Amino acid sequence: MRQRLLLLALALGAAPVGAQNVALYDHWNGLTGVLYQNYHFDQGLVNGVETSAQWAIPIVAVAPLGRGMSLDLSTNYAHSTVTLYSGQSQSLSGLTDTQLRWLYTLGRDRAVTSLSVNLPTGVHFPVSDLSVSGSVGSNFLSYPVSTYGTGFGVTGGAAYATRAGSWNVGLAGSLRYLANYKPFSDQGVEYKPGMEGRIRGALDRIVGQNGHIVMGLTYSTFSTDTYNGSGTFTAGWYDPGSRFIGELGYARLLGRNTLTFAAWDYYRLESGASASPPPKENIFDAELRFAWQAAQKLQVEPVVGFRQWSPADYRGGRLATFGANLRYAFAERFSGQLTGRYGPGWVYDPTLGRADLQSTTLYLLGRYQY
Amino acid sequence: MTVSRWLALLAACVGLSACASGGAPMTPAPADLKTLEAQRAQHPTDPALNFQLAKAYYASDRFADARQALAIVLTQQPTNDAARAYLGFTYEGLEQFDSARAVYTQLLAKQPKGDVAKLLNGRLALLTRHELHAQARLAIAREAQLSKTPPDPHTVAVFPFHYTGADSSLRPLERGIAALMITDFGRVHSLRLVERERLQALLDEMQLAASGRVDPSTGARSGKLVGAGQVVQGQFAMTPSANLRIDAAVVRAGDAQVAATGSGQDRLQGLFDLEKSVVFQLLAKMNVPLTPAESVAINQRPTRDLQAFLLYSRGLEAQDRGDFRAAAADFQGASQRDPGFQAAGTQAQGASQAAAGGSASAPEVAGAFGGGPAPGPAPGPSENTTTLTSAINSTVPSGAGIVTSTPTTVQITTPPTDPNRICEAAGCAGPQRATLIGSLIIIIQRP
Repeated sequence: MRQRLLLLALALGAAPVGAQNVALYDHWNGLTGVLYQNYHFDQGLVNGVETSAQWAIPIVAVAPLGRGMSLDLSTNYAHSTVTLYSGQSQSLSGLTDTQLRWLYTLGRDRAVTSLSVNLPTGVHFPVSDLSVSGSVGSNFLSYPVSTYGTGFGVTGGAAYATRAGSWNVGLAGSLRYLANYKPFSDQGVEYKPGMEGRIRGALDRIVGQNGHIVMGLTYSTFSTDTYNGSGTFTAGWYDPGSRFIGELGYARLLGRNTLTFAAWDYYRLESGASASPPPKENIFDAELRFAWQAAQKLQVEPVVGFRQWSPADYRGGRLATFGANLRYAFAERFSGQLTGRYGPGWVYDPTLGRADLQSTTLYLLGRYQY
Repeated sequence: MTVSRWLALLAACVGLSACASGGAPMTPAPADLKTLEAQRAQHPTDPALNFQLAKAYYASDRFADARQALAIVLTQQPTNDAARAYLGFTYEGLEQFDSARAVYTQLLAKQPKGDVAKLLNGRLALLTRHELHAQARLAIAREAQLSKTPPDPHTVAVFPFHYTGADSSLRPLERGIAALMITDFGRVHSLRLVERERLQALLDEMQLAASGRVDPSTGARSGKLVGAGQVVQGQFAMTPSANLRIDAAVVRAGDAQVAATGSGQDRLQGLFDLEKSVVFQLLAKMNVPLTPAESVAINQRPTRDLQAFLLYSRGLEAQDRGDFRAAAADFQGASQRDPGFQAAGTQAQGASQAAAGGSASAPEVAGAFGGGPAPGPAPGPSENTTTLTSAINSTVPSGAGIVTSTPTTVQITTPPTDPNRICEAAGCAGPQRATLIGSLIIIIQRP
């Protein structure tokens, strides 16, 4: 792939690496590693789920093209497993879809346009694996990969940033089209996703000499999905419901160290569906990080996090996390990050009541920049 | 969502990008330093980051740090002329004028377009002035050591002549007459002349220029500091009979004794003849033999237009006080009055360049090389890059978003807004919801 990208870069008259470049991504970057997430449910849920786990290998490549352009590619190989207290387990392995995104900077640090293509490289699974696929599709109990294979898609977007006094203002919008696809490998259900539009506004500024505050609000809206087939899924429709994500972050430099508070709130309006639509929900997440420069090449960042899930129809869940990120610069161009988090929490099962859970997260990532 | 809503959304997106060309980019402020430094700790060799940091250091007068950051940039981007231009300014800040000169000369060798070349030539002209003053300060600091070294007897320094009259319009001739004498003494091959600007810098540093009164002992001291064995000093004024009188003396720097004197008076229009007469008197009393060719050369007049010469003298005065714009105007005026007045033409060009270079800031000169007057905000939090990257990564998500994550950019990992559609449609998103799959299948299964 890199050879192809190189050829493409040459064909487009790519600036030599290191030449003045106004692109947002002006270096070659490669990133991969292993991401592991496990949720263990003490009492089991109504279907007897004991653990739901996933490991994934992300593959990210970024290539600068010419003076103001870049191309990035990202995909994952993911393996998800659901194990029941009965001893049964079900897994789903395979590639996810691949996103190929082209960015073009219009005026240095002023505006950027983007065209992203979703290549349907993701695995399509038998309908019997829907429970595994569904288990990783939660926003509350998040996983590295939440979706496997869908269909071909195109997203066009633009972002603009400017300064208003001491504030930076960022505005962005995108429109996404996803073609029909067949989600199941063993059934002829055809899913026709609706279009998605997003708008985002954000503000950030330096506070005092050492602080930086960021605020953002993203709004996503969807047109109605429809599906048609025979077997498990018959004709139906689904309106995903508009979503809002508010963000607030504050970082403060303390010597060579950085203290960060980051919070987001995800709010989804009630969905509509021909089947059982998910109710509206809210997820609030906050974490406190302290990046300590332990050595010239080593940074240790302890993290404390909290997440609250509040669906409309019943008590949701809560999760606390404790852990740390370790970043190490192995060489000038190669760095690595190890993330470990553990946390207790609970989800409310409408039938059995509160089910305690433990979350374990391990990420190992390596990045090469050229 | 209706079609019109989609179109409105699309129009909003297009509108946003259409706004892209407006507005002026910004330079990193000194307040951004800590943030940029922390970012560089994560990406120590990132040229863009180091360039932004160098600009912020420069703006904070932290020239040594700026030089270090620029060295990283230029190691990775040897063709980054904007960074090189900043390096020149940084060297100036460090008072490493020879290094700054080397940088500007290197940039000029690339034959940049006219405006850029003019700016660089202007900086070079200013550098000369800075260098002369730095050397003068050094000489004063090392005076004790220099005074032990006998100055070269064949090196001559000509002080500005002191005007003792009341007509201020003639005062610029203090420098004009000295300049004429420097030119004339310079025609003698056996003598070496101290440049007028070098001596002027010394006088400025010794704070003697304002008074203009230099006695033999002070002249001798100054001569030693500039390595001149002989110092020409003098004064002039209008006599009651409306003649111009010039008195001059040559002082030996070694013993502060007057070695030669010369004087004369003539009507003002005869200034050039009078000056030549005094020069020949001095040379004769200094026992400097002249070849016929040297005598002919000394007798040449740079101009015969006294008004042009007065303008030229005013230009020298303005130049010495650092007002290059006024100097350029006076020199140009002199050159226009007498196009054959070569010294005026040459000085006009130099002063004009110095005026342009002097008024140019580092971002402007760097901008002329394509880096932009402020090539844009740094990737630091106070700059647009972070804002822009977050904006596009939030609306057109990609795995590349993680590539830019650093602890000092306020990283907020939000949940994916791209839904797991088939599962959401089936109401099974999440392990806790997955319990409903069975009932869901029953509900929607075709009868």
